[in-house]
Parts: sequence; structure tokens; C-alpha cells
Amino acid sequence: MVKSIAVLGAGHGGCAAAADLTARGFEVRLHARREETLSPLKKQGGIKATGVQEGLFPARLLTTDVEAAVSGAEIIMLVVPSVAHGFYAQALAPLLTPDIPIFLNPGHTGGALHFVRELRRCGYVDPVKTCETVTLTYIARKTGPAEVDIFSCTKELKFAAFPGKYASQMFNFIKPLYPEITAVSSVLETALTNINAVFHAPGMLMNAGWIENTGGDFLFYREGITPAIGRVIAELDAERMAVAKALGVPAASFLENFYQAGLTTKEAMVSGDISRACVESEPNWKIKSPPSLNHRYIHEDVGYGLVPFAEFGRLAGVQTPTIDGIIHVISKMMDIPYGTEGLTLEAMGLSGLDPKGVLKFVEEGF
Amino acid sequence: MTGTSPVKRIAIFGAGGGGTSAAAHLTTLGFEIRLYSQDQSALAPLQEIGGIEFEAPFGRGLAKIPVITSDAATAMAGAELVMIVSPAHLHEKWISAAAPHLKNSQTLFVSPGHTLMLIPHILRANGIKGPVFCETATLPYLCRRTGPTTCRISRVSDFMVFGGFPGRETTRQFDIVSTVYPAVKKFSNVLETVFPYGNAIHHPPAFLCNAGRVEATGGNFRHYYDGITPSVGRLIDAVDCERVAVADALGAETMPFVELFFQMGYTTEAARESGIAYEAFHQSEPDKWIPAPQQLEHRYFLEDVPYGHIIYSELGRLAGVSTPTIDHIIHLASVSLGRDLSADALTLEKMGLAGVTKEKFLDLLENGFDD
Repeated sequence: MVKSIAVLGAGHGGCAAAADLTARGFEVRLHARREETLSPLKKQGGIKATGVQEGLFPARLLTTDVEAAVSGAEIIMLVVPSVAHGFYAQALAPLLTPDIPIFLNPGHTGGALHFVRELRRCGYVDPVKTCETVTLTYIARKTGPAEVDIFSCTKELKFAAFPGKYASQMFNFIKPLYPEITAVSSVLETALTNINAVFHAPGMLMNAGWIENTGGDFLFYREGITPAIGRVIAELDAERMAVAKALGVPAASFLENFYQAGLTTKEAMVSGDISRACVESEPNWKIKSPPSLNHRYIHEDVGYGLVPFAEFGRLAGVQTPTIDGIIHVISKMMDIPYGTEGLTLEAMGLSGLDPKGVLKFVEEGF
Repeated sequence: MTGTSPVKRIAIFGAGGGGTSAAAHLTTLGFEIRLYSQDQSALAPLQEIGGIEFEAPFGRGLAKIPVITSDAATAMAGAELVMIVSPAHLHEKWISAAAPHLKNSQTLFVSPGHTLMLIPHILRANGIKGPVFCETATLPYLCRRTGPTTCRISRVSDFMVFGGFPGRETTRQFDIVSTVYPAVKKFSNVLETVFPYGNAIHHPPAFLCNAGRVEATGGNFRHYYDGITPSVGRLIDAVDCERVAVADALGAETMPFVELFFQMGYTTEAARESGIAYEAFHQSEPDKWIPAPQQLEHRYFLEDVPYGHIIYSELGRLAGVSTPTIDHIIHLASVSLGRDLSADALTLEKMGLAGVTKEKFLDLLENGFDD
């Protein structure tokens, strides 16, 4: 069984993982890109956790050197936003060997495909085994420079491997670390069930004025997801499911996913009203709006969420006017061309393939 | 001023903020006003006090209106100028009411107009041959109806784009209307009054980007000053670029929104220099106090999408210019309201021009219909 784990990324998720895995007897080698992220942890002699784990947990290693972090590790776990995948691929390309699996926790949409494609671009040619969860295994927030509050571990977390032929091997490898995972058909399924992309982007777009004017002084879900925004989310979600269906990928609705994840009431799910489901999302009640539009709810959930949804739609021949509209309008507002700079089919290594070719590639890899 | 004007009596159609403001303002200038509305409940309080109470830069008080009526014939009798002051989606209703009583000697002036060739189409449908009318792109006032007998004018416009239909009639009509509103600026035709319709440029994007706040707070913020933030301004700029490209492709003279806004006297020289919508609104004194609508079911979407964004998109198609930002906003506004705003929109088809070529369209614009 795995003993030594390199955890790359020391934000909310990375610190939660480092504390939790250390508490459960694993050796954690924690990497952060910036020394100022690590120095409070070093000073304190570890991460102080509350919630799911309570106490001070000294990781085996705290380093800003990727090579040191992964040396001797049996698995590399990336706990970073999608936008950081490129950086870590570049750092890992010269260090990686085929026997060390990579676990993207979370992969969001197309994370594993993108990461492998980036590795190739950086000159890595050997086989690689990757796997991903759709969202982070923890619901956690850093409450100070060296403290993390782990509210809960995500239940029934969808998990897939790339290439798919290693699915059961990867599943058995990760299951001892995270018993909550459940295997799904492929990384296309994890990609197309990314619910953050479904509701964050419309919520940001249609509250843009409020966010910029007040620095986000409102409750994002409880106040910000109003009936009109709920209708836009529902339309976007219907397009996402149509894309999934056309590719033969199982995909439940946003409301079903939201309910299954324990994030809303059964009554709200049955009502079919997304605004109500968000307003009645008790775990999200206290979540404030981002203070500005310069936030992962846009950079990640548009560039690495809606863009790949639209790209998969193009692949499948399914129209996605609402998704396209949100990408276009937000691109104009941010002055960032997400449609081309985000996670395109090319960035996932899928350009030039037809749907059948994509399914084969997802199973077989390079 | 009235001494030199061929216009003495003016029939005003519409008793909302714009209509009552025009009635008050033009009364103080010495014109004889006849105020018409089909909405008797809006007229009753005015009839009771015999006019409209106003608060304006040019004074305050009661403007006495000799005739306040829901009978179009009475309102129009003896008027040299018939002025329609209504939201665009009511043009059809008002013009149909006026048409049976309209005389050749009367000048039909629609302010704001910006419905392109919809009005001539309705006039023709009502049996009027070779229809003639004129319009401004914007309302002459920044104003609100503040109560059953009151209106508030915060600014009288000192710049209004004016055009006539057919285009070759513009000068003759301009010479009449400019004696009532000296702020009108003569443009070529009613295509050039469609493009400077400012509300159509900025209301839909601004409303879309503030939809959550409108619904969550019942519009408890200032629409322009708080709601048009830098990123919202960038979206308005993107819409404006597409609008200008369509106008250019049709050979219509127009100016960038920020320049237009400055010309209308709504913003500062510094904002004009910046050339960006965010600065234009943030530095707009007259717009500063305007509150946000209380709900999304409001003309910012209901009028300015179907009678604004959609006609820009249609004209873009006619001109062979793509308008992706405008098209996406039309779609998202429709989805957010839960119904298709293009269903009842101002389209070329609605003007009886389905399938028209660009050349034929431009010819009609200049020369009108020979019937």
C-alpha cells in the first residue's frame, strides 16, 4: 500500500490533504510554489487542523522544490486550480517515471487530459498513468496562514483514470487514501459532471455589477442565485447534458448532482428550481461572493469548464448557445479570450479526432 | 420662440414621464398643448388639476394643459405638430390611433422613434399613401413620472439626432421641428436615428450583468452609478463596436456611444477623452441618481432587446456584418426571462421588409414608398 505521497499545492485543499493524510499515517511531502506560503507552516512545525481532523500535523517535508517533493514519493497528488496544471507539468516532465501515478484532486473538466498533453508538450514521452476526481475530496478553508478547517470530506466522489485501461488499477491505488471515491466510465464523465462550471459562471456574469461595486458584499449562493440566474443555469445544464448524451457519457442533472453531494434539500431538487436549490443549500449559506471578478469562479470555471463543455459540444455536433453566450460575454468583460486561451480540444490533446476517436484515445492514451 | 414657429398647437400622444414632461416644458415655452392617452386612469388625476405639476431646471409649478383627452380626434384637431412620446413597443398602438385623423398639413413627429420603417408600415396599413414622418433617436428629456400628477425633468437634452422619412423629406420636416426643439441635429434619414438610440446600446448588457442584484434587492442600487462597473462598461463597449460596424457597412453616419453621450450633455470632457463607457456613466451627473428597476420584467430588457439589440442584429445580417456580442446578449436575456424576446421584436419582417436586399432597403429609406 502507498505510504509516501507528494502533495503539490498548499492552498485550502493542499493543506487539508496534508493534515488529513498525515493524521491517517501517510508520509506527506508538501510543495508550494512560494516560500511565504510555507514559512508559517515551518515556523509552527506543521499544519494546525480543525474539523474532520483536530491537532497539529507535521508533514514529512515542506518544500518549494518540486524535485525534492516528488523524490521517493509513490504517488503525486496535484491539489491546484486547473490554471496551475501547466506549471506543474513543466516542472514534472524531466522528473517523472512511468511507475509513479499522478492523481489530480480535483481534475475539474479535462484535467487529466490537459495535464498529460502538457507533459507531452514539455518533452515527456514515456507512458503515464493519471487519475482524477471531479471535485476536491475536501470541503475546507484555510482560516490562517498555517491553519485549515476541514468541514467535511466529499461523499460519492466521481473518479476516473486516463488512460481508461488503468481504471481499476488506479482505483485500487487511490481507494485506501480516499474511500469516498466511486469509479465512473471515463474522464469524459468526470469532465462533464463538473457542476462548479455550471453554476459559478452564470452567477458571476449576472452579478458582475454587484461584485465590482461592493467588493462582493453579499452571499453568493443564498442571495446571488436568483430565479433569473437559476433559469440561465438550467439552460446551460440542459446543453451540458445534451453534449454528454451525444457522446454516450452518463450525466445526471445539476440538481441531482447537487442533491447527491448533500448540498440541498430533497424538496428543492424535486421542485426543479435551481435558484431554490442554491438558496436552500445549507452548507453554502455562509459562502460570500468573491470580492472581484478576477477569481477562479471565472478563470477556472469558464476557461477550464465552460470552454471544454462547448468544445465537447462542437465535437459531438451539439449546439450550446447558452454556454457559448456566457463564454463570449465574460471574455468581453474580462478582456480575456477564454474561447481560445481556455481548455480547447487541442489543449486536451483531442484535436483532429472524431467522437469515436476521442473515446478510443480516452481509453488507450497515446 | 413660438412667435417665429409655424407651430402653435401640439398634440402629445402619451402621458408617461416623457409625454407629461414634454407637455410641461412646451407649455412653459408658450405652445398650446393637447395631451392624449388611451389610459384614462392616467389622465383622470391630470384632468382634475387641469395640467401637470413639474420640477425642472427651467422652473417648477403647474403647467396648465387646455385639453387632456382620450379621444384622438379631439387631441389632433387643429394641431400643426403631432408628437408621439412612447416606448417603441407602443408605436403601433399610438400610430394606429392617430392615423385616421392625420392630415397632410400636420407634421408627425415621433420622439423617441428609432423603429426604422415600422411607422410608415403601420401608416400604410391604415390606408395612408406615401407616408411621411420624422423622429429623434432619443427622448428630449431626462425625466421620470414621480406621481399621478407630477413629473421631474432633470435635464433637457441639448443634442438629439433627427431624421425624416423618406430621407429626402428630412430637411423640410427639420425646419418645422427645430423651431420647437432647437436641440435637434439634422441627420440623413431614419436609419441614422436608429443607431444613436443609446438605451439600446447599454441597457441590455448593464441589466444582464446586474440581474442578480435587481432580483435580490428589488433594485436597491443606482442603475448607472453603481451598476455600470468597469467590466460591465467593457461589455457595453463591445456592443458599441459592433453597432458602429453595422452602421458603417450601411453607410449610416453615427458616432461612438461615449461621444454621443457627451454630445447629449450627459458626461464630462474627461470621460469623452477616455472613450470608454464605464467612465462615461461614472462621470454622468444627470444619470447618477437614477435607481435600478425593481424587477427584470422591465423595459431595459422588454423594450431595449426586442426594439434595440434585435434590430442591430437584423441590420448586421442585412449588411453582412456579424454581431456576436449583441446576439449572445439577446439569447441570455431571453433565457433569463424564460421567454424568447425575439418573438415580438422589431424585425425587418415586422416592417413589411422581409427578404429585402441592402440596395432596396437603402432606396426605400431615401425615397419612400410610391403608392
